[in-house]
Amino acid sequence: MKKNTSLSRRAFGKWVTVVGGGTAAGIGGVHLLDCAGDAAKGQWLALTDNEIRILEAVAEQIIPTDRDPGAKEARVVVYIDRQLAPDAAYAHLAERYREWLAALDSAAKRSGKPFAELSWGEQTSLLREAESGKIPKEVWNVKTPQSFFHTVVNHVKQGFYGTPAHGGNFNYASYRMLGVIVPTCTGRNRVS
Amino acid sequence: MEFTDAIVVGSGAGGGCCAKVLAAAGIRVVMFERGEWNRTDPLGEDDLAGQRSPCVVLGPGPHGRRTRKEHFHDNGDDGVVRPNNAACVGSGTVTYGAMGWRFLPDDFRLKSKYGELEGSTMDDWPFTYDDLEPFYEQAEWEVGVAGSDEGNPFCGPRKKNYPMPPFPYTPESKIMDAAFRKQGLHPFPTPLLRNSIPFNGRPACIHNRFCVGYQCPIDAKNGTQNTVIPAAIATGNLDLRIRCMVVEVMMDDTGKAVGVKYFDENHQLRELRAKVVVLAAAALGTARLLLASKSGRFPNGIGNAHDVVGRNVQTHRYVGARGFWKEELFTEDGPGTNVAICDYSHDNPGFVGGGILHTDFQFTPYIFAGGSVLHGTASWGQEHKNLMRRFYRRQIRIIGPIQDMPTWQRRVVLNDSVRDCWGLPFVRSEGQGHINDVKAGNFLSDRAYEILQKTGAEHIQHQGKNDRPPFGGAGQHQGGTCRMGNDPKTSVTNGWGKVHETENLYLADGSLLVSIGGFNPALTIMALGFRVGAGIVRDWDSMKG
Repeated sequence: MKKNTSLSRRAFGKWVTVVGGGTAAGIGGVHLLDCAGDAAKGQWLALTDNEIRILEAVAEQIIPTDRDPGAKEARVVVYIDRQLAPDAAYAHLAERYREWLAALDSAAKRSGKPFAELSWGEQTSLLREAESGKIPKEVWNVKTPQSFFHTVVNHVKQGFYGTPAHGGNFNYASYRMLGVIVPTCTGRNRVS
Repeated sequence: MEFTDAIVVGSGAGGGCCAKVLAAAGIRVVMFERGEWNRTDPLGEDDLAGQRSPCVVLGPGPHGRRTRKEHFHDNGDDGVVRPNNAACVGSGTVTYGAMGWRFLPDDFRLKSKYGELEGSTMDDWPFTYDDLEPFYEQAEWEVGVAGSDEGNPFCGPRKKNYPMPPFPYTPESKIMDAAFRKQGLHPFPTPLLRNSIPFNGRPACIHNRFCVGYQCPIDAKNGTQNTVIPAAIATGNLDLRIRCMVVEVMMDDTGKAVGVKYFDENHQLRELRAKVVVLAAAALGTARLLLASKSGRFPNGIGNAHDVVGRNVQTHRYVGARGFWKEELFTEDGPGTNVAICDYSHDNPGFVGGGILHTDFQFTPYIFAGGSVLHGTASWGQEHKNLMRRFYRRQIRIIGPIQDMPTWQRRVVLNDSVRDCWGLPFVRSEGQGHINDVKAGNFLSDRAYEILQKTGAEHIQHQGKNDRPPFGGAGQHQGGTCRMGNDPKTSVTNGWGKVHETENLYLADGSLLVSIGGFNPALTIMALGFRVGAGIVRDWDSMKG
């Protein structure tokens, strides 16, 4: 039995080796190696550039950058966009995402600016209002409830704390932050 | 028309063990499995594809749009439940946490022990612990369990010891073992369906602590897929047909099962005839098949003359407590669950039954990040991130499943308006569980809280406390939908798993459970599979015609 008891470059190196040595095709059209490019290229599978801008600001509020990377640097929106694509895990939620993001942006524009351009504190307040359903009804006039925010929080956590194989957790941001050796699940790092 | 001796539908804990007994007795068996052989790559490394977090996909299947949705809750389209049970050869035994519990003798005689429980259909089994004991032993030795009962004064008598010694304790389990003792309780090593030493030609466990929900990369976790099914195939009598979905049991006018209709891997509807049919599609799947198999003699589904099929569904509410250690306690060394107690399984004040408490597998970062880290703190934003960093490597936790009390109204029914791609209606779960579950759950959570206090852990929190009885139910542990019994008005099968009113239709899975125990039910379902198989072999001469 091989033991890795501390976080090391070697552990990450091994992960990359394992993935590289495995299938390149991935599962369900998800390409394991190609998990970083989309954001840079601006080629989104489900959302528009503007929707991504709002979602990225929301995600950064949920997991902010501090001494460790936040949602933006970890490319959480890449994860969510992929899961909203046709036939992907959350395809059935794509329309709700669009509606919720648009409604949030409209609510922001009461103060003259789109959500992504609000100050940090203004963004936080608005999300807290949405979380507890306190944005006035005449502003929030879509079917998707404000509390859809909880679903967004969950997905942002998946994109930040889950495996990089699905597009988020870029450069193992959360695993490094928490000192987790990868691969986490089956202990393959223990097998020579 | 194709013929065989016996058909077994499902290759999980019950079906796998039953098929092995039949095949070893020289009976030709065709086993149907809707999934396929599971692979460990690459989903085996995916913490968003495990059974505890099937976010993007469920690693061990079902795969693809054909099988994504398994059942519906009552509350509209938001209630579509994505499967959290595996669909592959071996089913959940491929990926389970692999606790190998025997139920306690009292679990088989709840009504005799406690009397009537108002509002519940709680009952005695049609046989005792002693009747099942030889089959527990068979499961422990043929599938493989590591454990020791020496420290457990509550367990039933056993004739033969476990085939493997227990796993050594992790640092967290050592702390909990001491705390249990301080509280005057009786800790002992959790029995595990894993190789603590090389066993049956496969290696010893590599002691990873994240692996619940995943297939073992070195095959040291014991399920039907790497034990009884290969053994059955080796007899030459088992024909395993993967990617096949059985949609109907065909019955004749005399109450005899004549075979099944199934879709093969090319989506062709086929028929296979046999002298005996065994359903082991898990509690929901088996109930669904019986209800959907309507015929002149069985207009409401097979075995359902008294409207019992699908009722008494039971699952497990998990309760416990968690705290945080003064310094980092995190280790990748597992398996996660090491130490357990049965002190609160029975004879508690004010309610029936109870449950075990045990240490648990390691949370992946995503699972740990769900909700708030501490009660009353933010579930998102800077505070949440700070708490993630501060506490992820310090968690100490004990939990356990509560013995679920069945009710008549809590059940699964066919939902004719929603059908899968084969045209079979989905099942919908409905009905309220019993208030006993609330009492038992809150009691056990309070005890877990007190025990954690003995460790010196900080920020201790209850887990799973709830004031409302469970609703519906179809978790990973599902049981009771076709319970065994002597009275056809209140049960679906007799004590050997044979469906009342039929001559040769048997069930061999969790649907038989009269009570689901305060334990993970896998080993009991395996024992039932062996027992149903033994009954069929015993009666084979009269059935083979």
